[in-house]
Amino acid sequence: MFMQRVYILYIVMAAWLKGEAPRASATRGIDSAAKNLGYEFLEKCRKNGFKTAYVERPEALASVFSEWAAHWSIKSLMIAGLSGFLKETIFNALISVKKEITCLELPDLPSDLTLFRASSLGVFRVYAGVAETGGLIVLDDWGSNLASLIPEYTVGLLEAGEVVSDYWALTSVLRQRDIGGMVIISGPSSTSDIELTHVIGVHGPVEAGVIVTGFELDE
Amino acid sequence: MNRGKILQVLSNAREIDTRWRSMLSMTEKSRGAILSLPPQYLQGLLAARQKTQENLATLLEKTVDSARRRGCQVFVAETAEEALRYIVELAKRRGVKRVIKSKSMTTEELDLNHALSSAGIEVVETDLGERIVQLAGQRPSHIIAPAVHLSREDVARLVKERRNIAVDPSPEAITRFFRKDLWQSFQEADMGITGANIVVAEDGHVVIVTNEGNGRLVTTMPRILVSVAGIEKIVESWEEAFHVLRVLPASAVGRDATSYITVIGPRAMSRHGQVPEYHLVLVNNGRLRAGSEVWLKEALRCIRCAACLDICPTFRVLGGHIFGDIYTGPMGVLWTAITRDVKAASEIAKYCVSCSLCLSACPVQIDIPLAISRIKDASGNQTTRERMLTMYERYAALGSSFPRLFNWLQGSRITRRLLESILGIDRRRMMHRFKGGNLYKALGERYLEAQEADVVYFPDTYATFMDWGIGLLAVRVLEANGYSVAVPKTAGSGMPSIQYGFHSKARQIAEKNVRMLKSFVEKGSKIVCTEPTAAYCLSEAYPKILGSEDSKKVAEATTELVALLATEGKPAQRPMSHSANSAIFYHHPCHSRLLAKGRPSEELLKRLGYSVSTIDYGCCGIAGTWGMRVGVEGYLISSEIGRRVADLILATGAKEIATESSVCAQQLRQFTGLKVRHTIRYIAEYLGIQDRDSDALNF
Ligand code: SF4
Ligand code: SF4
Repeated sequence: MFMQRVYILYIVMAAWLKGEAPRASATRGIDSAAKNLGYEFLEKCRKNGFKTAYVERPEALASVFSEWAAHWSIKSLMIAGLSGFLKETIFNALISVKKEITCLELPDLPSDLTLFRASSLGVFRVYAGVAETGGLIVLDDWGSNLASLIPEYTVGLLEAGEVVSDYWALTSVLRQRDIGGMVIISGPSSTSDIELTHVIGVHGPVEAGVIVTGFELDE
Repeated sequence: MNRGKILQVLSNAREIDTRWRSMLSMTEKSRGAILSLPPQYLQGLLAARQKTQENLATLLEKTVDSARRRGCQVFVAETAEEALRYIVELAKRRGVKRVIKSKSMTTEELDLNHALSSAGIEVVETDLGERIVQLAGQRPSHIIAPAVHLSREDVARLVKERRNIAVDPSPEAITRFFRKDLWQSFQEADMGITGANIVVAEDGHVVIVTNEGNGRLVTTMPRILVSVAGIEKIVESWEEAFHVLRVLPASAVGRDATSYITVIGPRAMSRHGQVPEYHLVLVNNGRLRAGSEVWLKEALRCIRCAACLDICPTFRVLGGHIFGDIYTGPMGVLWTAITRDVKAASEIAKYCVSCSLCLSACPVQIDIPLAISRIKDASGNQTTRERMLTMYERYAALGSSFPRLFNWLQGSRITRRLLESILGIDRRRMMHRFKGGNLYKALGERYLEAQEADVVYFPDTYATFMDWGIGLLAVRVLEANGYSVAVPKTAGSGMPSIQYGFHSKARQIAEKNVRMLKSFVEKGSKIVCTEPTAAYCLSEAYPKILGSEDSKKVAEATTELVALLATEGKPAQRPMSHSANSAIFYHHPCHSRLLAKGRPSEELLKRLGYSVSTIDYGCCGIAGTWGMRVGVEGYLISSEIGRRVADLILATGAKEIATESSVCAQQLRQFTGLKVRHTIRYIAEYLGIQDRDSDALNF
């Protein structure tokens, strides 16, 4: 019987093709003020219904992904905006807990995105986090937009130094850049349309996570 | 409005209960979230929305310029027809077969779905609530919770009927069904249509605020994207947009943020990363005209948060299919006047009880009740009975001269029938009894003729003619607190004239009272009221009706008596009498909410050692003479509210009720069967001031 482990890795290359987007933080080093804001942001995200984690070193990222993925049924993966090293780290972490992954490599997006809908994980690069409201900003990056929207599970990554205090901190970015689109994500998709009962998971992700790192993501 | 339809709603207690509880919890969440926001966010929002209200035409031009500069195809539709023609023609030209839509009240206003379907184009609503009402062939009953009128069983039945699939009647299972069912539409649609929560004039971006993710799919998946925005959604800058984004979710759903805020530009983040074809349709449809109507232009500030719907007693009972048109509830009355006409708006306006709770809940301070009153006035639809109710003060004065006769007339079944058929006062309504005499006589000339005083007491009709014992206590309590008091002869507040839309009469009364009070105010007097509605008229309604400097000065000097005592009074410590030990329920009158932050009366009673509890259920349902009237525009709706409020109060185990409003007292006594007393009576009791003039029938 032909049985083998086949891996699905579907990587949206948009961010690289477009060139690296300038980030919200001016300083790359992560000082204690940035770290505190990062924690504040994560606490707000947690209240908004995200799974949250703060990781100091790249190696620790793998354990967060394997821990979260252990609870999720994942058969396909969509990654956007992350460096080769991070993609590898995440991918390895996932296959350590998910042995049934099939490999399929495509040069372009299929017209039918259903494969990336159920039992799928989207991992994306967050442009900035908003501490006051617990919002993840995806800016001008259609790959991250898809990876944060279509799959059943999603995880956004950003550096502690990329967390800003409130929406107003974004004003200058919006003025300086001729933005094509932006999304601020403040929780998994949800509705209260039936008898005002809160239900998580409507047309967007059913579960969402966010990881703030104490190291630089784009190296 | 079809009376039969209303009676049908009123006969469905389960539906009213569900709506009542839902709206109660929405109001609670929203209020909590708004209170926790930094005040500067609300101030910033108000300033931004006032700027839009005053500069709509200029901001529209700026938006068109900047959106076009960014490569967006912009169309300004003067009328609904123009907007429809543009969108339908575009869809036809591009060979569109299927359109997916995210939630948009502006497209409901245009009746866009009908226009597209008539052109052979399939329209799929993707917001869960909108999809449910679409399948049901209905229109949204609530501007942010379109299917709130339907139960889970109703929805499961609907899915079975329309999609031939049996789903478990649980919100989770139904949601899972729609997630799967709508996915194919997202994948296959050629055109996406969104509404807009904000349009940013400085760069032409459109912002939509959603929770379900459908808004993001609608902007991501199809090859053509159209945003349809009412022009009042424009704000000048991103700074202003952020104020909307901070306050809107708090006021709408009690959260700091919704799950998604999508900023749509001419290069929206479509699924292939390509530039989709993007059109922005800006709809006027009466908005610019409304900007030139003094009494209607405030409505242009509306951010569609629905806080006014959730808190409105009429909406809680009747729901949006009766208390509304396309736009529902309190804001719906104003938006019907803007997008249709005053006559259509007045058909809905007649169910407004003028409680003013919508104004107290509105984050942009739109004076909906006063605008509704103007709509009633402009429509000329007022009835003779309503005109007679504006003469309520004369009736009270007469009753106070012939108390025995009037009390007998009010107590006899035959005369109650007569009162019902002539004046339209429902025979089941418990009435206040006349004490005989009036406050001015009881006080004597010293108070009437005083030209100077620390405090001027404005008694209004009830404390002048019916239970003037309250007036006497008010004066004695003030004096015990060291204030000198004057009680000049004033007219009643004129609330019935405002309530039923007789504006020239309301103006006359306001002018008379302001004229009388201004000389005191100029000498530094404060004006105090024991009736919350009187304080509301003096401090909120008169300055807006008259617009004069004098009326503004009077407004600034006016406060409720209990609020004054709570902040400035120094009641001496005295041993408590029996009331301190009995459980008191405090009922917060609607009009008091506009005048002071929090509940000063409740706080004061607690400070004095009384055992007080309260529940914030909103309006008790009587609203002056409104709840006394016979039929659906009165007692029937009023009693639905009264009964539910009474259940909540009785469940607290309270033995008596404290409040300041004479009409609320009437309603609460009738439906709870408990003794209701004016708060001033507890304060007087604490101070050891004898209440010689109280009797069992007074409050
Ligand atoms: S004044 Fe009261 S009844 Fe009238 S619309 Fe506002 S909340 Fe509703
Ligand atoms: S009128 Fe005020 S409370 Fe009502 S929806 Fe508009 S902004 Fe919200």
